[in-house]
Amino acid sequence: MSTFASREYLHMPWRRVAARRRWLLLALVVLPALAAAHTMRGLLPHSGTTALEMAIITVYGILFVWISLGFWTALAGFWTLVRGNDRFAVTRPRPDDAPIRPHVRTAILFPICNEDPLRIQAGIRAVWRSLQRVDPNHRFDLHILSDSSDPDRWVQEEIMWRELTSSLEAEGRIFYRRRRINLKRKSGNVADFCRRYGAHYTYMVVFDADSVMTGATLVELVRIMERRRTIGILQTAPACTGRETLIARAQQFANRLYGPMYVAGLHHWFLGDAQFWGHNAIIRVAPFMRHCALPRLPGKPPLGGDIMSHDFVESALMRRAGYSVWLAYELEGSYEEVPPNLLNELKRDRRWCQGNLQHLRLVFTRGIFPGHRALFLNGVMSYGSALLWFALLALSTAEAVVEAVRTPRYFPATKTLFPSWPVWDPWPALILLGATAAILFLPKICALLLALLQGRRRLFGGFFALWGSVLAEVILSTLLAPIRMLFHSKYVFLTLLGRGIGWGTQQRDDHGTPFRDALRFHGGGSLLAMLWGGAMVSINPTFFWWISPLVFSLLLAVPVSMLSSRAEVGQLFRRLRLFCTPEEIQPPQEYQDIEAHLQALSHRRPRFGLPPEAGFIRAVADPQVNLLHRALLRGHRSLHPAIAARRDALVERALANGPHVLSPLEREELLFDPQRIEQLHHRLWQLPEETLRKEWGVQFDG
Amino acid sequence: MNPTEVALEAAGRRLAAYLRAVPIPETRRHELALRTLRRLAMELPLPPDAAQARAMELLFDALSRHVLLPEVQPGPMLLRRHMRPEPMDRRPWVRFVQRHGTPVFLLLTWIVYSAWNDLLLLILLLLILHTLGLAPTF
Repeated sequence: MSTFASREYLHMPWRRVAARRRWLLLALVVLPALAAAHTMRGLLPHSGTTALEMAIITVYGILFVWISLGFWTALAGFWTLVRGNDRFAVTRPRPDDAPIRPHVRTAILFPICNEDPLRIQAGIRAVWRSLQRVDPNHRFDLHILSDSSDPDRWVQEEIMWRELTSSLEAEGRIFYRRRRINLKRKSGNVADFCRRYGAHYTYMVVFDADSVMTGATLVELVRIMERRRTIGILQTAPACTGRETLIARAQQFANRLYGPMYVAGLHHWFLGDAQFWGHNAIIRVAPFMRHCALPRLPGKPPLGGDIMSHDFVESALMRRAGYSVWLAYELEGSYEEVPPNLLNELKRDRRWCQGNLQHLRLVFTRGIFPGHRALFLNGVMSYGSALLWFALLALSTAEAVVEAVRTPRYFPATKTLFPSWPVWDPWPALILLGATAAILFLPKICALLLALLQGRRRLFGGFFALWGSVLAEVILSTLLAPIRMLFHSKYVFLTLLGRGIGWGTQQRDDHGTPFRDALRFHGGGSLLAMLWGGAMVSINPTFFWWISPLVFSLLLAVPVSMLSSRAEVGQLFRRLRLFCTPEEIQPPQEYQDIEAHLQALSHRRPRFGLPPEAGFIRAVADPQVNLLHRALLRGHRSLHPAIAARRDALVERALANGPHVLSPLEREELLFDPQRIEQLHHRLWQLPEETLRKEWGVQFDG
Repeated sequence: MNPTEVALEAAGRRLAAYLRAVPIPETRRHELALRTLRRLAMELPLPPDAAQARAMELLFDALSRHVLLPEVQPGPMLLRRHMRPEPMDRRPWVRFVQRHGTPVFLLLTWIVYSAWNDLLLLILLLLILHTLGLAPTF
């Protein structure tokens, strides 16, 4: 049977419009890039005739194409939003819409891995309450899908789930499952859910651990999917909110001011060939299960093995099967959080870089639509452009050094009457600089105008606050861009060399970056900038002034990284009404609920004086937690005598010396054994009070 | 207080702390605590630590007759389905070469292993001889 036998929805009217628009986009980016490259050629001392200058022109041309893509996407989005009345917007009802079936069930998935259970609990509670407000008889089930390897987190999650089901009266509606083996990470987690329970549901909405969506938005997503049965994936544009550090607030501001325009622009060019970002999206379960299972790539990581950035590939496979993938750019009520500091952002980027570079191996896959091939390349260029920028700087530096040390030839080989003076005309350089600046900054001006035209200035703190925030964001992003460039270049280089990257848990709290960490990560870049700048000052001072913004940004990397990670600095900017977002001015009810619940949890006194994060100790000491944990295990199994003896030895060790002598793997092994965890619980309570207090932290009056 | 009372008080404190966390009705908690203390009193005198340990042992024996494991529904009914990856065919040019190259390869093989091979070699030989001016005339 052909792989594509089920491509039943191929001939849709929007495809011709999308194809015309993309040809136009191609012309809009390639032609100016050729003109810019030609201008650059005239700018260079040897008019592009040397190998070095040809390399500079080539790299510059590619980078110009890349920044032009962003520019035209922003302009297309501006035009879409200003004009309104977009006939392809998915929220618009159409005459050929299918009827809405009232009895479809939707699963909301929370794939988690060693995240903060308190925050997850607050988020789930807020989403559930929001759904209840819209429709008390809603047909959504919530599934917490855990891949947590930390035994303490495992127990905390079980407690969290139990508290949620009892406090929200949601038994049989909120579920918890922890995978014993973490196969294929998040995509494998979702696939495992699909295999076990997917047949119960028509749709599933995938969340991240920090995602929030309002009940109204969730209900509207289901209605759209019901009306448009050809849609396989419908992606919302999440608004970033919830953080207090300076860098996070700046990103939240940028996301809220520029984001809607860029997303509308992406929708304009891609229409039903859009991409899936892995969360805050609704998916049609049946075709997802039939067509979007991910294989392993041959070879070893980082470019082989499990597909790490699974979302892009899943949307390409869904489209290959004939279902469309749309961006619901006009739907609000979808939120997520950004990393709290620069180091966490770079950690996250390292994973995404590896995942995106893997897509190079999928670009030529048979049956993938051209739009998705372009999106794969777009993802590669998101990080590859940093390496190209680094290459351009290196080549330009080499050119500057060569021109500085080489003696000019006044009389070429062919006989001439007059000498040839090396004269440099600054105007082409200034024109090129101006064009690049226009491409980079005009979209920001358009976004500002859009906010004023739409009457949203109050949601950003007012007219002057909005202008001030844009200026401050430009300054901050100018300072951070070279730092990001350096790191992304390193990531691309290491990944292409075959050096893999772990997929660790992200830090999602607002703790500041310590000086030691900042120095360790940024010290190398600052040293490089010092050497580079120093060399250029002595060899070619004119060139130094052209690169001075980059040099000073890299020299200031350590203090910028530290200051921007502080919540106090972010709050200071907020008092100055800078980087204000609509969610800060008018907090959504869901975030108010989250905040209230986290406050309530912080005042709660734990039983027996045990801290909430001591999951393993609570499972051993607290009778309720012990019973819950044993109820969730599969039941007693007969064990090989060697395994039974090993586990008995672990029990004896823990009782003799305290829980701290057990490694996380040993604790996990005991937690899997209902008989031994019960035995440990009984024998713990027979220990002297002094031992209980000192070794286990158990207090009777707690 | 005499040592028996001290031991009973310590055991009672531990029993109360433990039973507060057990999911049973309040009256049942007190009944179990009282019964356990009465049984413990019959075994005294014991040092305080030993008395507390023995009290817990008696309590666990009493609790074993209760069904305490909570009813939990961690997931809906299992409805197992398959989710298999479709063929990706990441290198379509390899299939193209295989699809079109195979017949050409087979044809060449047939020529090499058939009498046509001898004929072609003879023609080649005659051409070489003709080039060298040594071709036989007929």
